[in-house]
Amino acid sequence: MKNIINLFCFALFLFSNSIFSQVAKVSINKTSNGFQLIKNNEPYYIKGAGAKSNFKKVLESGGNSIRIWSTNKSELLDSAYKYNLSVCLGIWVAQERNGFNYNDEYNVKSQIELIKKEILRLKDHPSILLWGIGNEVDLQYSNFKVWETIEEIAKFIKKVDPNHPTATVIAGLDPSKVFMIKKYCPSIDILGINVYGAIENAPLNVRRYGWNKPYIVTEWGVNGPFEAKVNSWGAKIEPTNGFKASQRLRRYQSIIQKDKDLCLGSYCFLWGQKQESTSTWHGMYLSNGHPTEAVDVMEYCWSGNWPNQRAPSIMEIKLNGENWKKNHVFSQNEEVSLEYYYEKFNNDSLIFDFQLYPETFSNKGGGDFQESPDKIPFKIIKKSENNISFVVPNKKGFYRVFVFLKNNLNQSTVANIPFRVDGI
Amino acid sequence: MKFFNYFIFFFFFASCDSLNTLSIYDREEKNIDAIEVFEFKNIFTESNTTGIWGKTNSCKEIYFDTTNNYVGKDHLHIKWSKTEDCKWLGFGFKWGNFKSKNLTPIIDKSAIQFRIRSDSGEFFKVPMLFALVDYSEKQCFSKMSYLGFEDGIVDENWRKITIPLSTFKYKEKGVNISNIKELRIQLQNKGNFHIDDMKIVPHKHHYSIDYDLIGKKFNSFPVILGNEKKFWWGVNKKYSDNFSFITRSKFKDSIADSDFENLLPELNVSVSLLVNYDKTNKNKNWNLFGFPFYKWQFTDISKIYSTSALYFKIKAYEAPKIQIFMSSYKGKPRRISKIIQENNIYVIDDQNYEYYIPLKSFINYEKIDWSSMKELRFKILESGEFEIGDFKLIEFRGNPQNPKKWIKS
Repeated sequence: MKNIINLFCFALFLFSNSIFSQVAKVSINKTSNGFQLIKNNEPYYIKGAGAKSNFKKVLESGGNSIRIWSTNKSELLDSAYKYNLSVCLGIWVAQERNGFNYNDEYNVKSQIELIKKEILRLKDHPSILLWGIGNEVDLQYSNFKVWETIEEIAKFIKKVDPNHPTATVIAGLDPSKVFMIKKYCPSIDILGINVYGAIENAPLNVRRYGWNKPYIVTEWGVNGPFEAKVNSWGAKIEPTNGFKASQRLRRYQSIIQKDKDLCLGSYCFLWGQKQESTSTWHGMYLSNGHPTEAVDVMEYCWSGNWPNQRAPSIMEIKLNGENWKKNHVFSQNEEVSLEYYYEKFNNDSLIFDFQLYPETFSNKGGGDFQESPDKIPFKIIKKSENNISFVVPNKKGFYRVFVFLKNNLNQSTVANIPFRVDGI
Repeated sequence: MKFFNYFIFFFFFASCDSLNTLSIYDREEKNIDAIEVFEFKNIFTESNTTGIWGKTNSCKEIYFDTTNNYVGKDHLHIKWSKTEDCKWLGFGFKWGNFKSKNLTPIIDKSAIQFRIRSDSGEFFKVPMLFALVDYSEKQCFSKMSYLGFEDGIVDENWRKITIPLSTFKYKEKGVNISNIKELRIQLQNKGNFHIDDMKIVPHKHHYSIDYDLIGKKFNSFPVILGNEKKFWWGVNKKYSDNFSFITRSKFKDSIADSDFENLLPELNVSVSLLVNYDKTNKNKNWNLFGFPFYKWQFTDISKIYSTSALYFKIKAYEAPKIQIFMSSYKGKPRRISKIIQENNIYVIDDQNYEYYIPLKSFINYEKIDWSSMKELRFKILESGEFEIGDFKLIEFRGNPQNPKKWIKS
């Protein structure tokens, strides 16, 4: 009987130990020049994507981590674990720009208590790499008390979870934010920076503004709609997929990868699709789930190899022979020529698709939800390899025409150009 | 006769002294409890006495469930799933048969309290928004905050939830809290919950709402700037040798020697910066530095900006070219700038210069929000070596485009 009990205890010990040992032990090592992330005693450089889906493709492309923005969908942690991906687990902290009042102690305290519960619930999940406390709480904010909330959460994590470092994620670098975080959030180990156009100077500014701990580029990609040029009626000019792909490649190789001293890695944005001014701006996937050439670029960045078959790449788009620099204004029902120039790569045949949408003119920022417009039917008169002729709508208004191009594996590229329809 | 008059006068006064106040009714000196006398405490207990509107449609199912009630003969069972078909999803309580309710006397000392349970599962958040609606259809919202979960959880047992009335943002939303028509519940995402025994109860919490933001207002001159090193950025010898604080300033004339020595260690004061910028040298190519108007807080100079000039001193063989940026926490544009011109510089002697930059000479100065200023930023435009310091805002009443004339006068 005693032997059976002993055996049972031993089995129980082994079982509990095996669960416990699955928790990644992550720490930050100070090196002579900077910092290094250590996961389970091994140096760990983050090759990550901001993603809620397509995890398998992250792994296949050579990535090792994903970033999610909240604890709401904790099943994503299991999916990540299945694909051997670590997770920068976001803790959603309410944003002042969406109505939260950090002077209201009742709501502040309530939020903190709820978050503590979430931390205790999830802290031992084996896929967690680090905590991302808050996302862009500094965007359009005026109440610095938000940093007290960030610190209280970070301090709590330090107390209950010695295995995972803490980060807070800000919307772009600024000396005042660096000062505030250094002063009010001493329990923050890593600065997460969401940075698009301003990534060009990010490594320099991290140092200039006096951040003296490591950082992660928690969102990066192409210049955002908020940084884009606009035409005379305020429609934002979206670069073609081809332009965006080469911009991503350069930014990864010459900015992110170069700063090995302070930068612990990065999460590209967005390994999925969302409407942000257009349906194709930040998304590395299309709304139909097809990957764009941005996914190929990340494979090259992470693994050093291009995929065997690459997505085609649209480099330029024009209406009646003029690119976006001209304001394209047409009469109702006017026949217009749409031209597009692309790289075919090693694809035998390509499939074209053309879509027309009303202009959305959203001024929402910080990735806040934007509604997708409905497609407008339109008439294509002529079609050739590099252009189509189509008839613009008979209703006055602001529009955007898209060209989609894909290969037999659905690897896609896209470009669009806005135009206006006036009266005859 | 005269004596008689005095007597009457005296009698009148004496009688006044003995006059007492009389009340028609007996007065009851009692502290009346506003919640006790509030007529509409009951919001929902059962379908018979208190009704609702906005029942079942394709996205939601709301009915009076008779099994496992908390009180009464039935309770509310709500199931919903928000889809594209239902832009707004919710329902309302008829609450006192829509009679006008004055919540002003009870707003800070009462709460909506009710019982809730699920059919299965544990919840720490319930996707419902509560709205108080006034008779002009204005609404203010609150939600089930975690502090209001008495047991810290919603599960299959009846759990008590408290939503303090003070958490409804009625001031921000302009809701007339003295004329409330109804209570609505807006349903978000999806859920399946039972609700019973909803009422107004006395409630007080010790959490406050502060209305102030951290800030500083300046109404007079001079405004000393950049005098604490810890607020500066751009000076970091680890990465670039081009900027260094100097403790032995050449501009001591504004501070007595003894004060200068005393100030430095305690207050971390720097009155000047040594600049050695060389755009061709990797170790000396940082060309930007900055500091806040006041400790990185919102700084309000709206009362003085129009009669202000930024002043600083430079010691150099040649007056350096500098671009100055000022930024604000709010408004558009966030940043204005100016490249210093020859007429901003007053030559004291062959190595010492005073710089006067009227704030009204910055491009777009009239558009920036001077009430929430953030930062001053200096960009060195040409390689050179010099000392810069003694930054302040001073009074300036001359022509912004020709400050030299005013300085000379």
